Amino acid sequence: MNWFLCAFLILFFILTGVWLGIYGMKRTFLIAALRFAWMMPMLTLFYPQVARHQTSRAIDIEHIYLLVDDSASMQGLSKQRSVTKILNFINNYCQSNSCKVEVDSLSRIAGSSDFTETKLVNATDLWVQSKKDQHWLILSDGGDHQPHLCCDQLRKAESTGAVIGLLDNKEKNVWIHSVRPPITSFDSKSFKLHGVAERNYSKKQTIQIVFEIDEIVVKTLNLAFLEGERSVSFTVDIPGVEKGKHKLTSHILPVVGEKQIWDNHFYSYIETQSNTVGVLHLLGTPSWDGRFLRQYLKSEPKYDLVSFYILRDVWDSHGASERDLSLIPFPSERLFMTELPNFKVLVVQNFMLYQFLRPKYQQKLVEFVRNGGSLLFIGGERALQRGDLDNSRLDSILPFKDRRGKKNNSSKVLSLFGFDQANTKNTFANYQSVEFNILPNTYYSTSNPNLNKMVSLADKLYSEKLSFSGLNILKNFEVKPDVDVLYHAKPYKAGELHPLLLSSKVGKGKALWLLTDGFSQVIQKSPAANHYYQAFLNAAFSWFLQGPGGLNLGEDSTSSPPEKSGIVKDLSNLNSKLTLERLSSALGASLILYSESGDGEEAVGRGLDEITAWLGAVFEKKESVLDEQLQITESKNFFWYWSTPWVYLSFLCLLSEPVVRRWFDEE
Amino acid sequence: MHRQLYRLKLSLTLWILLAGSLKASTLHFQLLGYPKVSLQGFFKAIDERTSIGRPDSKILYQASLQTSRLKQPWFISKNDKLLMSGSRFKNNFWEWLVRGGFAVAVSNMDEDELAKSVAAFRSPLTRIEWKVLDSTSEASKSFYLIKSLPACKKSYWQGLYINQRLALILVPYDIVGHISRGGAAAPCREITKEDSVRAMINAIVVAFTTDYKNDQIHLPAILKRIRQ
Repeated sequence: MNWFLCAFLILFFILTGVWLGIYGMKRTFLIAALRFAWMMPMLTLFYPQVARHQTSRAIDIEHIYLLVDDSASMQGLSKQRSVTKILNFINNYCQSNSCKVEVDSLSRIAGSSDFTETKLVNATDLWVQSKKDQHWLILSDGGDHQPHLCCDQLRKAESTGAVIGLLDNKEKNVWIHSVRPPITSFDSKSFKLHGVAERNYSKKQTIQIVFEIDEIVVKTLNLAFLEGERSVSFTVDIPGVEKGKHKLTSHILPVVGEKQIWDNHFYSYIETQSNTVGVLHLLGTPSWDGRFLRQYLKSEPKYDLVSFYILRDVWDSHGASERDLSLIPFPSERLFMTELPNFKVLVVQNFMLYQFLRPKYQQKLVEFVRNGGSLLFIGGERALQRGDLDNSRLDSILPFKDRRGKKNNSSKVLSLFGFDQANTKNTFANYQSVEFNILPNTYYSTSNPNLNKMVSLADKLYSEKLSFSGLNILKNFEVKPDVDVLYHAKPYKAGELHPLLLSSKVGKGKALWLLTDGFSQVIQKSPAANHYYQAFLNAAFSWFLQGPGGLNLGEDSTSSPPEKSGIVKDLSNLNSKLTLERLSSALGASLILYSESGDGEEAVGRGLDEITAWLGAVFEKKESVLDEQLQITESKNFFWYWSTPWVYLSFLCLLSEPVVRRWFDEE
Repeated sequence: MHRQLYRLKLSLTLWILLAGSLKASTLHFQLLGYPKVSLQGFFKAIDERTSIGRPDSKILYQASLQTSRLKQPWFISKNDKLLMSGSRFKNNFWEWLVRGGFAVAVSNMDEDELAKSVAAFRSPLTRIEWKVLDSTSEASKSFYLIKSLPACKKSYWQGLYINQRLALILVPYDIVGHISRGGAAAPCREITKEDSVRAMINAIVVAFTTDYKNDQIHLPAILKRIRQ
């Protein structure tokens, strides 16, 4: 025992004896208790709290960097408890596996003093990119002040990492999973809104969803969840609005007992137009590719589609009189000389231009693109005939040029009919029924999100090993310098890459050149791959129509918020889980979902096993570090009592002691 | 003048030569529930009469309903239980139709059976409709103008429309057998082989072009609208 403590106790007993003589037994006991209580902070100085720290002495200690989201939504008790539990768990793991945890906070990285504004996406990008060749973890609940921007701009991490998502499953929670408005609506005409609401509990309940356009309530909907139902789809008619972009808010009113309400909102937008977009579709021969493109164009009410398909060639004998046929002559004069400027997009699919379009019509086509029209050129067996290049007005807008220079007059005559002196193949972009993979042009980067979407789509097609057939292969031709190659085709047999998708700007207009008639084959590959075709065409038409008065036809309505929407601080318009999924996917990281599975301190967090598995996979599994390899250091805290609530009791006793003694004097 | 005439002759000759090289087709026939049939005459008719080109001479045959065949965009079936078969195929077949697949089947189902066959797939987001394919339907005017598609003993051609797109055609007699064999179409003796060939060509053009011909009715209105 400490000598000072002994001296103190002896003095205390002597003092108590003196008090017995003065105040009697009962009062002395009370005063001694009070005195003892208020002197406790001094007594505890003799018993400091000792903390032991174990660190590994192993030479090859690896660091793991941990970024903790400390925004407002993470300040709840349960989340704090989860954070502490995960931190302790990782620390313990590292003690026995020769790694060291370096913790950083989101507020420090983001440089924001405003804790209601989570810059999760911006900050993580910078932080993750700085951790080259290091292992990292992000601990967050997925709340971000601009979740609609998540996570297209994020760069893929060059190092191994994981996102640990904290989900609060103990509290009642209802949220909007998705809302899909039509890509566009028409002036003052109602439109349908499809969406899905979800919840994390099973009891039968009716919730109310409020729909607002530009902050004005336009509709409410009562949505019933049956017993055990976790997800319910809804469709609602929203009244028409004026021309322009409008912010569309879908908001579930909080249910009784719901604490997490920031995910009850879902923001999207609707673009209202006064009129439709005119699309002229020319198809050289009926084909599956033509069918699926038509199916896409017809499924969107915003397009006014005018189609002309070549159902019969001049050399065909149909075995019937003209009256028995439903065919009409191709109205080139009317279409190209009068109507063409009224269209916004011209689709030329597997079409022999020089066969059906006289030079004056070809000139009109060139003028159409130069004056701001858009051209989607799709390849095929009939496309890119020699005559489309030689003696053709189209030469100036084509994205390739002949390596061998201009042809002489005699070859022009032959090439007019589809023959080339040097090469008997009648197409200059030789069509072959080869099987190929689509490769994105990895060197290509653009500030245009729609072209980027197309490039990232090719990434998916390649990673899913989807194959296609039917390719226009350019021989002796080179891509013009101002043309961008977005996709390459890699045939299975020959390893040489061929340009597949090219984008070019011609005057005020734009053109996309897809050198295959097999892209629509993706639809039949699998149900999951089906949407790639639509996503590709959405991105293509978005690029065509973007700009002043243009449209954005992105597949995800939340990806491009309206300019007027105003970013609502810390009210995520996406469910936290969705943000976490997008975040981890964009960073190329694993996602580990963590939630407390029950009440009380004994609760075991779900996800710890996954964290262990991830750590085990990332760090080379070592034998447990032996005791002698552990360096143990101690730290003492003499003032630990002052941080406990008992210090208030001591203070109260200090005040009470003179009162007790004075009360005795008066008696 | 003489030189121009020479050019014209030369061009016509080269056109004819060129025609052959452009007539390869992406049309493959898949027959479900059929024995081996000869369709070379019909393939020649498609090649000579339309711009589609000669179909692949290799016909894919399949005895029973298998989902593996649903990777192609279309097929012709002798089995009319496509939507009433084992649940696995039925669901996959439906999903394939919604995704854009197209099928022609021989069937004599009555109205109740037709309604029952699609009852399980009705949803607020998918518009499903059975229609008799009369003279106004795209199957009657996609290539040949046919006053009425060949009926058989008061059984008519039926079309299943999914979101206003013709996805499945039910033919009341074995049209492929009739085209292959020729003669009279049993049991409907009044139907000639040319009737069946024309109707089948129309069905194939519908497969490729959907309701393209219907658009032409709306053409003046569309042009007027986009001019604004």
